Amino acid sequence: MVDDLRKYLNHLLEKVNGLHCILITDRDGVPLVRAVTERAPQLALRPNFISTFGMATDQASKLGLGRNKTIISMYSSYQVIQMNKLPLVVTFIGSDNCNTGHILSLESQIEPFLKDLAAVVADAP
Amino acid sequence: MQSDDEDTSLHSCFDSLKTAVMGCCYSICHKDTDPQENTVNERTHLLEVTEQQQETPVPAASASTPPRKPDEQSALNRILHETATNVIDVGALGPYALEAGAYSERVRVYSARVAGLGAAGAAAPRLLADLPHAERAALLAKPPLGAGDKDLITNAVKKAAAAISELRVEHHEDLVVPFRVP
Repeated sequence: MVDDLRKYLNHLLEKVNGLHCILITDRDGVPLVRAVTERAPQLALRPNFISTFGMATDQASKLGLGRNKTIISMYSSYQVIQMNKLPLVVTFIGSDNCNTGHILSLESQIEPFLKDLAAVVADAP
Repeated sequence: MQSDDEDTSLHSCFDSLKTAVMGCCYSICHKDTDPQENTVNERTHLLEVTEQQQETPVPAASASTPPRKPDEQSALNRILHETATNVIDVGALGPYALEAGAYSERVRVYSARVAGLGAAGAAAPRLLADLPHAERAALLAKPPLGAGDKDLITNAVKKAAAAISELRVEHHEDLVVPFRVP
């Protein structure tokens, strides 16, 4: 299954122009499945970068607007979109001019796989 | 701390007793001396309350005070806990990093478990799914459509095409409507 999923994520990477990587990790940034191109910034793939989202989404959920679902961070040459699928975190990294709406629309296509992966994380010690 | 709580609860009990006793005395005296008992003034109750009902809250309050204390304590703890979780204190979060050993251990566990999920997991959504060879051969070996069904389909498609070709836009009004613009 994991090979199929990786192939599918690579297929999604090719579909969205400017998307560099898709990571499915736990909230500490430990990867379960990842599809990465050579253009992806290595610093952003580190667990201590990805794990900040776990804390940020917790704090953002306290602002009185309900549960935080997605955080979009725009940088000078990259954009990072992280989705709260706790216990999983889905991270997309793309170029700054990549179509953000197109990336957000991938959520529904990745969603069917997340249930099984969440069970993997939930059972882990 | 606890003695202070007991003192305050004792004080509240005495206060309530005192007011109740004073109220009773007043009402008794009032009844005896006041000739205008049935007249309505600023001291008459809006709702008629019997003396028994007036007295009952005092023992009830004093009896329920000791068991209410743990409830109050737990309620206070709950409020404290909720407030602590609702506070946004980014400075207190600090940097968080998983230890290298724990990280590699978790990567190993995850990769083993994900590999163990097997092909039974959710398949990629696709419009045209591949069928196994035997099923495909069985489907292809079935007899073709009958001539009657083919005619029915052909006629239905011809009628639909004719109906679509007859669709016309009927012009009734001007496309540009002036809105009294000078």
